[in-house]
Amino acid sequence: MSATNDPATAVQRTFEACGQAFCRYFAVRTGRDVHLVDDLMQQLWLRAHLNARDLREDNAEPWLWRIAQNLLREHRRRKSRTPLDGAVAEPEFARAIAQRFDTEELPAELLARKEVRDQLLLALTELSAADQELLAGFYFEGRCQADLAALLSMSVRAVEGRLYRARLALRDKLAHLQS
Amino acid sequence: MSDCHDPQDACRHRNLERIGRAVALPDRADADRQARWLQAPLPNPSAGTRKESSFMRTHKRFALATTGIAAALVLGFWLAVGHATPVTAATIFDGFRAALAQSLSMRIADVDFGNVQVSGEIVLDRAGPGPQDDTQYAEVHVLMKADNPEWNDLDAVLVITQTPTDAWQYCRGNGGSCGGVPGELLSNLFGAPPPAPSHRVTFTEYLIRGRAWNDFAQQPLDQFGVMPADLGFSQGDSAVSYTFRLEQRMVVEQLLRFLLQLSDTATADQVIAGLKQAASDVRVERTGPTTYALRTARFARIGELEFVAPVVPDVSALVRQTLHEFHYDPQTGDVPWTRTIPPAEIGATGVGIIADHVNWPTQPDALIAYLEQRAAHVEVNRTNPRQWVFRVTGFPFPTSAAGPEWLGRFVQSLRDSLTLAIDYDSAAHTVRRAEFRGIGPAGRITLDIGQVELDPARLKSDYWTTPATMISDSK
Repeated sequence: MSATNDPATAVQRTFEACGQAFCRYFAVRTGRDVHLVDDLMQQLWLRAHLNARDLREDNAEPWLWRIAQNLLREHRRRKSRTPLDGAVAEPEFARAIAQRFDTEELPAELLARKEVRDQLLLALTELSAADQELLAGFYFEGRCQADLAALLSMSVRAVEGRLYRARLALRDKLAHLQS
Repeated sequence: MSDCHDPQDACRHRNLERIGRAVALPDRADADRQARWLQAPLPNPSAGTRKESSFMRTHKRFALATTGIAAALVLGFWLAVGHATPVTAATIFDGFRAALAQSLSMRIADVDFGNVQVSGEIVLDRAGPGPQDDTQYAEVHVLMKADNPEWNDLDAVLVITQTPTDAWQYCRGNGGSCGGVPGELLSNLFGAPPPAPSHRVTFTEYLIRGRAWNDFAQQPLDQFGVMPADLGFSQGDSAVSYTFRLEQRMVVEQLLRFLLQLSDTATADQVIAGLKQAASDVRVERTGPTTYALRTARFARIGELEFVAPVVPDVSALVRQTLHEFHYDPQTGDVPWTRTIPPAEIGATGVGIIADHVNWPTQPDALIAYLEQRAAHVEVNRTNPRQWVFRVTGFPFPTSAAGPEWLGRFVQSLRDSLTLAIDYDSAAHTVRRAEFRGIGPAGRITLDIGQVELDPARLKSDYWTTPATMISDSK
């Protein structure tokens, strides 16, 4: 098997490319406990590494996301007797926010509410790593489109188009957030 | 932006801009953290990928042959997976936290500052049904080394004991301020000399009955009083000095306070969280079928542990407030004594004023001229014909930042060298032992958890007292 088709290599490349997104996913859901997040990331890598030969998909990212979701589920099951530290999804509430997301400017007092921020962060961190990186870079870290274009080796026009799709994806995630 | 084509997207964009300003994303992981993710301990070879894969292939080949074989293989697979389940650093820290609520002993050994060696033990026996049944015992030794081999070293000792039926504190080494006091007077202060022909010095000692554990937890070395900054003794042509510098004492106090907070159920969570945050390198290693070792090192953010605050402050304003007095004998031309009185605030900074390194002119007129050129204010009092007094303020004395600099070097060495190892048994979910290393060149603190071994004789005050011990009851 060539290096490019080797599942272990593909898994490692995807893990490294998407690491920040997985890290963000765990951080939002565990109360930003850096140490716990690092443990979960280590487990994600370990589990992916051990099971790489079972990868049947061309793209390892969805497969890694499923492992990440399972790890989080197992962690919460182990901690079932203690209150959750991280953000908790409230699907009905998130759907209501999503409806307003497209039609009005969300008032500052609404954005100041923790449960609103939690729903937004939960939706954002469920996006693909590429969409997360674009939205995080542009809206949360203040990078301009030209910077992102240089970073991602694409044209400014392409960045604009992908940002458009990422915003749509975020809105959909918010509308269909699952508990 | 696509807002001119899609008003809904324009609204989305504006909302995201507002969210970006209002909501903080979790911090990005730096390169060190990302590297650590790939350092997860792999399961041992008997449960590794190769064998697991073999099991899986065997399972696929023969699963349909007999349900018995399939069941056995499934069982084998689950056992293999069971072995492969990683133990995480968080799990071990959880176990450590739980273990700290049990009985434990913490031994400090080989903490060597060159002029001083520190050792000791803190034992918490929590075998009883409630806190009131606990036994708490602490023994701290500060061995001050003589700078002259003709003289003995001094072992300053502090013992605090609190059992359900008894409580007392014993201290050997409390003394008064010693700087610049002649040897004979020091001998009186410390009770032991005049030094014997063997050049032997012993500390005074006392025992106070009463509960003192809480005070010890707040100010661990408080019973040493102002002891011992700098002691000097002499006999004939032989002289010795002992030092336990302020910054060294600060480190020992912080170390003891850190251990006491670590072992206190009310503060352990916070201390462990601090350790986790401070460490840059956390690894889990498999040491046996069910045993693991958590190795924590590179405490790059050790300042957050509040061991010490090694900052060299700007004391120039305080130096200018310092008063220096010359007592000059006009008949002989001698300066029999001088004294320097810095403002009290400078003492807390650790910075010292060095007045005796200034080459003062010896003739009074030259001295006055020299002072008037450099100092803010010079006052000359010649009313006593046998002793003139020159009072000087605002003189730019040289200073020494040796104390804060020593602290800075010590903290840097902790950052580089400190390690914490925790031994964990996953079968019993227990931690029985943990060890800090790298406190100075060879210093270590060992925590033995679950079982405590303490000589019962040490819990009795008469083990420590001598006929010279002053005994009293606490107020």
